[in-house]
Amino acid sequence: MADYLKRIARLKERLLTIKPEMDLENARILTEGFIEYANMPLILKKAYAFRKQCQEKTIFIAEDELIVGNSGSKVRGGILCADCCWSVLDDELETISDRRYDPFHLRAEDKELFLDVVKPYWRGKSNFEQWRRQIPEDLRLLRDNGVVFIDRKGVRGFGETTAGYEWLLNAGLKGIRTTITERKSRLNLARPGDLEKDNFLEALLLVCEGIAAMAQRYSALAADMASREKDIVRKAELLMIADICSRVPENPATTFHEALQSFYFYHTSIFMEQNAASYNPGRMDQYLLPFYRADREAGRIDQDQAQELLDCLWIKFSEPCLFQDAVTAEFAAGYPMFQNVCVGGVDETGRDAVNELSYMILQASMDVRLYQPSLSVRYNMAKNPNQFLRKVVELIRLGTGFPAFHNDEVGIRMLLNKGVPLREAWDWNPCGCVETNLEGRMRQYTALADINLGSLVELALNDGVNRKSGERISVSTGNPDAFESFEDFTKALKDHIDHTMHATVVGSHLLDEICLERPVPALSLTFKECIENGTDYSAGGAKYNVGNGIILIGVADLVNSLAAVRQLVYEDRSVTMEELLAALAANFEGYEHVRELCLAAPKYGNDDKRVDNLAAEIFTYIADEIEQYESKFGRMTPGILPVSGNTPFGLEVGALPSGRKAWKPLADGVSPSGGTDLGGPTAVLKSVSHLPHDRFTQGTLLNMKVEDDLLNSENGIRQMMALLKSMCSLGIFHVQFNVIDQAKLLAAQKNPEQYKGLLIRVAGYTAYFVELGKDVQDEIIARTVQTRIQ
Amino acid sequence: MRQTSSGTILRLERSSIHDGEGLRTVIFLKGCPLRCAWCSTPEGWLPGITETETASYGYIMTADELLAEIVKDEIFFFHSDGGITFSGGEPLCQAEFVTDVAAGARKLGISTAMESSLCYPWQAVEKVLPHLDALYADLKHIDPEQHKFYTGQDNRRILENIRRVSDSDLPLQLIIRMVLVPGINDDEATLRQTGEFLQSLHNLTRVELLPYHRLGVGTYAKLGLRYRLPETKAPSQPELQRGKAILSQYINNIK
Repeated sequence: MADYLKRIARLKERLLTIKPEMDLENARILTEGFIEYANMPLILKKAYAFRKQCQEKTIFIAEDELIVGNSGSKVRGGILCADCCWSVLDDELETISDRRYDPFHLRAEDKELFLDVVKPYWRGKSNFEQWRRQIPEDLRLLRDNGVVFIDRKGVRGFGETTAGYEWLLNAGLKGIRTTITERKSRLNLARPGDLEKDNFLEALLLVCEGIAAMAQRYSALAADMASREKDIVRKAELLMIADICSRVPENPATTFHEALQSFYFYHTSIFMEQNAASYNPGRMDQYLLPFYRADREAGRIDQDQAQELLDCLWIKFSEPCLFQDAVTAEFAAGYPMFQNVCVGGVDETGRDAVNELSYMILQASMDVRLYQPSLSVRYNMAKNPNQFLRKVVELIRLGTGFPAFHNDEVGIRMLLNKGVPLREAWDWNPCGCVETNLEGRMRQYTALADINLGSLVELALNDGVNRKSGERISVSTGNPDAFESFEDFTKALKDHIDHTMHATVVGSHLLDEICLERPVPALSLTFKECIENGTDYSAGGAKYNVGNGIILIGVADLVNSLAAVRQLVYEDRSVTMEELLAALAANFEGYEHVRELCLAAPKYGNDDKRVDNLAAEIFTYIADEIEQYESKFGRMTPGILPVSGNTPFGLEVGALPSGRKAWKPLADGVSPSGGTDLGGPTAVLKSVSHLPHDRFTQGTLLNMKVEDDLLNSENGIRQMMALLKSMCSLGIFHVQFNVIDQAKLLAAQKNPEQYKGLLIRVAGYTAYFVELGKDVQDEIIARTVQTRIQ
Repeated sequence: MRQTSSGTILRLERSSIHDGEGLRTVIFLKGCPLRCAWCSTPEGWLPGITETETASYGYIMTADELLAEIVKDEIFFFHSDGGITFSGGEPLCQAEFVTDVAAGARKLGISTAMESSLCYPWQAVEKVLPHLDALYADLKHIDPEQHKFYTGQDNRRILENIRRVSDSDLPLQLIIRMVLVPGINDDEATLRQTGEFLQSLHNLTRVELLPYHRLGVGTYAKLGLRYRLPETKAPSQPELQRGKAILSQYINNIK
């Protein structure tokens, strides 16, 4: 083990022992700030309260740390943003410590603080309460019946963005302040609108003051700790931290260490301002490179030292925990911060952008192996070297699920489709899960609402009535018995798609309005156009404003259902519509023969045109449908990513013609339904390539299982590289891999239904794992190396 | 248009990495003249479709239909230098069909390989050979008597065919594959005799020594057949290495 890894091992071990807790200090100071500055405009109240948080928050430096900072007062805290959603905690006060998904321990004194200070001030004032009060009735029906999930933005702040870190590192707060004051000097308060701008720019100056003060507090703390430190090595480290924090982020960073520290202070600041997922560091291998190279050239640092610093930052990324309500947590479980770091791609001239830091960043994820940061690769097949692709495969084989592998050319086209010119589209970065973003320039909610495609099939087969509740929740499309052709059925389906999209877009517009009362000066600080326009990020100050993302869940369920209805009812006529409806209503009980026919119908994931062409057509329709809507910020944008929403959505959907039984999870992302893809990885990729990926500009997510066998030899690594290149040639946007390790084989033994397609291969022989005898299965399990992520 | 031949397929396997270069579609064909005791695919022995009470093995496809399946993975073949591999069963049982498909694949720019025991008349081998980029010849046992005991046929024709292929001028890779079965063909004398034979061949691209495995054992029961090697175990890594070490005294390129 390299020497630097010992520190990393200690830091990691300590982190893993800490359980997430509710952190109410942030809410308390915000509340006090709002009371203290009660008579100021909202944007200034926010900024004063932020500065107060910076000045008063609890700070600490843990043993062994080289990068310091934390957005809360606890190492792994869930921060309650009172202005956004105080009432969530009110609703879950008694359950949050033990709830099933993402529990947060709530201490008695914090509960008291909440009831005495936070709740009384914010009652009736939060965004979430406004949303709950104002949600339109048709949308409420769809939401309450699990067709649409759209509360997320009420309980989380903006997030889903990439701040202008590069500018901060290079200019320092000092440089940004100069830009702000220069802009302020051009205002004429007698001119309508300029007063608002002045307030906004003043707020930015307060934010600068706050962040600078916080850094100075860390500097003083480190110096104080150093004065009491006995160990001379640690003493020197603390003095170095004190020195670095005294200089950044106020000044431009001059070393790699300063750049990382400056980055992290700002990164924690925007999270402190507003709890949300998906504040994305973006292209760190690009904007950190000059600092690294300068250090190396000057002999200030060697590669191991730089790697240690990066690894220390990687540990910090796993500290914060996303706070959200119990339902939203089901849709995105695992305290998912989605801090998406990206390597690879092309530079501003369109050349290969892979550099030595790209490799070191991949190495950091290999060293640390924690759940954060979300590591993404922009792989540009034309420009990036094979050596880089090979390193990516080496990370994949560790079985951590990272990196998320993105086809760069498709990402670039997605940005073009969002209205960004090619020159800047080259600089795109993955965001959150698989959405697309542009650092310091783009505003949107990338994943505003999720649409349950399984429900839409059900509505088309049930005249707009939800099976679970028995309520009519969508338009009436008639009794399917009367559908004379497959086209009649798809027409009904499209009517429900149209109705749902319309209601969702109206909800999105409403959320846009509500969120105008949620300014984010700390985030806006590094968006140059926000300063030039004198307009907050929330109000559209950024260079590119994009309509919110509408996310589709249950691709395979929808497509397989279409294929089954077409084949069984209208082509083979092996089942009548009446019989199919009765079977679905009975969850196939007593209709096993119908279910068998349903299961035998063509399935997405097998390179079968009978079903794949349906996928191409219906998803083109859906993209058209979403893109026809405009918001005040731009054209609405579609995406396909489930996070974990396919499970709770499944609970709302009865049996489907695909053969899926009632209340079971839907398929995730653009992946085939579990156990229905029987042709191996190339067949999966061919099916998936039928979707118009480029048009789903908030990304498409593919999870693939890969046999351990394909990754454990030189030949396997080479073939994996070829597989990834083929996936790019096919125009698929994204893939991430689940390595079939021992644990998954054991799972396959227990639930063979879900692993039907799992192949065991040796030279001259292949078999489906689940069809082998138990003794042979055990033998295979025994020889498969155990890999896992913590 | 020419009427294309048709064949009986046992199964198709896509994205295989073990039966030739790159990512390959392996075409398992029905019918085999041998009955190797360690065979892992006994459902491929009989020509035509094999029906049992619980399952049906095999289906008929024309060469054009098969080519349409093959071409589905052309992008993967391109990036991996892969292609198709005929396997079985014994592909030479359906030599005309294999020839049509191999010729058709090559016209589409797809590389071709065949894995065969070569236990077939030379006329069949000769027919297919010009359409192949690689031939994987399976050598079961170097001793004619033992060969007959464990496979039902002696190996004279096989050894002769291997030699004729190695003497031919065709630009094709010749790879000899041998399954190392503990207690049957892994003793030093057998391996040395095998090595001597291999040493005497011209144009031998490579030798692959594969470990015996028991993955197909379950199929015997399904077919109502007795498995002849109930006690045999897969060779350990050291045993495999020892086999390779002995053979490498005779030939260079061994995997």
